[in-house]
Amino acid sequence: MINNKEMSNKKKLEKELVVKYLSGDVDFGEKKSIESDIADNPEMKKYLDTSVAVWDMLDSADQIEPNPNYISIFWNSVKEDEKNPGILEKIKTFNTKWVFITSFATLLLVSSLLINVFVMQHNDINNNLVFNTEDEIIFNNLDKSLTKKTAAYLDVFGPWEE
Amino acid sequence: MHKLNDHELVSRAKSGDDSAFNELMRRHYKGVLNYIYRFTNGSNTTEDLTQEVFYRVYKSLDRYRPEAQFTTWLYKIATNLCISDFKKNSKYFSLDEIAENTGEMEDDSFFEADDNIYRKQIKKSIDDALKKLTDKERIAITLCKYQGFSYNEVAEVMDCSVGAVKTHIYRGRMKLVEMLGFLVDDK
Repeated sequence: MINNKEMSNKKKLEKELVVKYLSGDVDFGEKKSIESDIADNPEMKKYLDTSVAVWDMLDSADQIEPNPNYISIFWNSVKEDEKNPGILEKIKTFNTKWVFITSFATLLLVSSLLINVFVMQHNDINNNLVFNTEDEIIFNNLDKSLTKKTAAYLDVFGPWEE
Repeated sequence: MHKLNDHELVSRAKSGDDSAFNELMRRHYKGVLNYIYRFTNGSNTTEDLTQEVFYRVYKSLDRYRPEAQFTTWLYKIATNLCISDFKKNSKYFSLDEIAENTGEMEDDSFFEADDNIYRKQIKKSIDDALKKLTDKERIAITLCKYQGFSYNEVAEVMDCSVGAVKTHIYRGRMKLVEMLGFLVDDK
């Protein structure tokens, strides 16, 4: 017994086969099989006839006619745009030599700025790292005092150098 | 003198021959106009968009690859433009609106023959049905049915596989039969 869902799927499949057949997308074997199904199945035959008629009917869809002056309208808008070119159009019309020179000059300027900034930062770092003798003594004393003070508590981790 | 093909016209247009570009427009303008009209559900910007398509083609002639068909390239530009315009505007005016605005689509005569009314009803139903398809189904069916493109050409325009194009067409056709079948069954 075929239930409703199976029946509906079967009908959908039959319709798909009819459309595929009408579009000429079936091989010889499929074509013969579909033609035999259509001959035996009045519903499929009716669907085939309706599909053909609907497809043909699409020819009677509205066609619109162009504005009779479409060619002159086109050339007018081309002329208008040439008179008032956009930024992209302006760039396109630049002389290649000048584009190259400008790009090179900009690149040079940006590079020199970057180098300058880098050298300044590098100098700053070096300046901060310069110690004089006085600093050295202070650091040594600090290190020694910390070592002595904590040695008693941390002698398990010794020996500690004086 | 033999009739120049699209490739030859493009290469002439590239070298500054405006009359060659005019010939390209004469050949393809109406097709693109109607394609955009269907794609945009009869938007009242159809003519402007068509002008824009040809403007873009004109400006990018240098980028045209002769390996590709001119029509495929042209309709790809048209499709992309329609999609981006759709994203910008998010809605299109209806066919009724354009008819009201321009009077192009409708005969103003109040007293019409039955046959005329019937034809109008069919046209309106077709437009309504095409509107209800998904964008991909509508593009695939429009290019196949009205522009006579092959599956391969449609696939190139839509940037998808031939299998995907077939699926869009089958589904679209089935929907159209569902929506328009009553008109042919009534006959």
